[in-house]
Amino acid sequence: MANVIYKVHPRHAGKEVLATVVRGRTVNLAGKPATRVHTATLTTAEWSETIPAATQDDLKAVFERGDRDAEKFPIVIAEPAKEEKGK
Amino acid sequence: MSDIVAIPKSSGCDFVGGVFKAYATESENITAVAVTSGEITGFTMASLGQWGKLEFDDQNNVAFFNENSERNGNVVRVNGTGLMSFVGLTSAKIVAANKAKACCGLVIIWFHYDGTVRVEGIDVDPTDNTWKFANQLPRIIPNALSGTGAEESRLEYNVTHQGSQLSSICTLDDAAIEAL
Repeated sequence: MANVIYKVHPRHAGKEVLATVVRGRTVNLAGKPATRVHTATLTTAEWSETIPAATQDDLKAVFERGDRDAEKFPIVIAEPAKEEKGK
Repeated sequence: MSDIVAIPKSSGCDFVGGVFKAYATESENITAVAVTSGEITGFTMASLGQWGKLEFDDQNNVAFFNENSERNGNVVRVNGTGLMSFVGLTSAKIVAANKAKACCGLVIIWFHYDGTVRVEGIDVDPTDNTWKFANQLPRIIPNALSGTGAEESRLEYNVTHQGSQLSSICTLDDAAIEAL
């Protein structure tokens, strides 16, 4: 596998939440878990769920899906991974 | 790129019209969109739980989402109009309507009775699968109607927008939208 790292485009790197559905699962591309609060309804109490941080596989899937912002910039970019010293 | 694509004659007779449900969010909640072959296949949201679900009480089959284009010189623009009807007037509905009215620019996902799902407020360019927000984003213009003694009281949301493309098909279902 090529040494490529997938990450959020710098245009959006400062955002706390970048939620999308990948393979039927909601993930936060912003790199850390996020909390979603579901408000109470007539039949359910308020509850919250944790949206996990996206993995490299998730980011790769979004990169390949081609998600773009309104100015046509990709939301996820691929960069060559930096080689660790001594390897 | 311009082209006249062949459209074959349809078979069968099950082409029921109308819409029965929609999801709406402020356009600023949408950071990115995935487009494949001219269809919207995904959204990236800047915050969670921002799609409001609007289920119409459409026993009278009055709800619709129509787009009529107009030509001005060599420019063709698409004008969208929609109607959602909710039976009964309550405090909660009036509060909801006033909040909806305050939203300056929406994106709305309409669910048709025939199974079609379309996104209003996003213009997809089918030549390169890029997108942009409509130049006049959808807004909700509410009506609170007592009606007459022979009718039901109701809340109505009228929706209008103007864009450069007909609203695209969306492949997302309820679960995928509500997961965002």
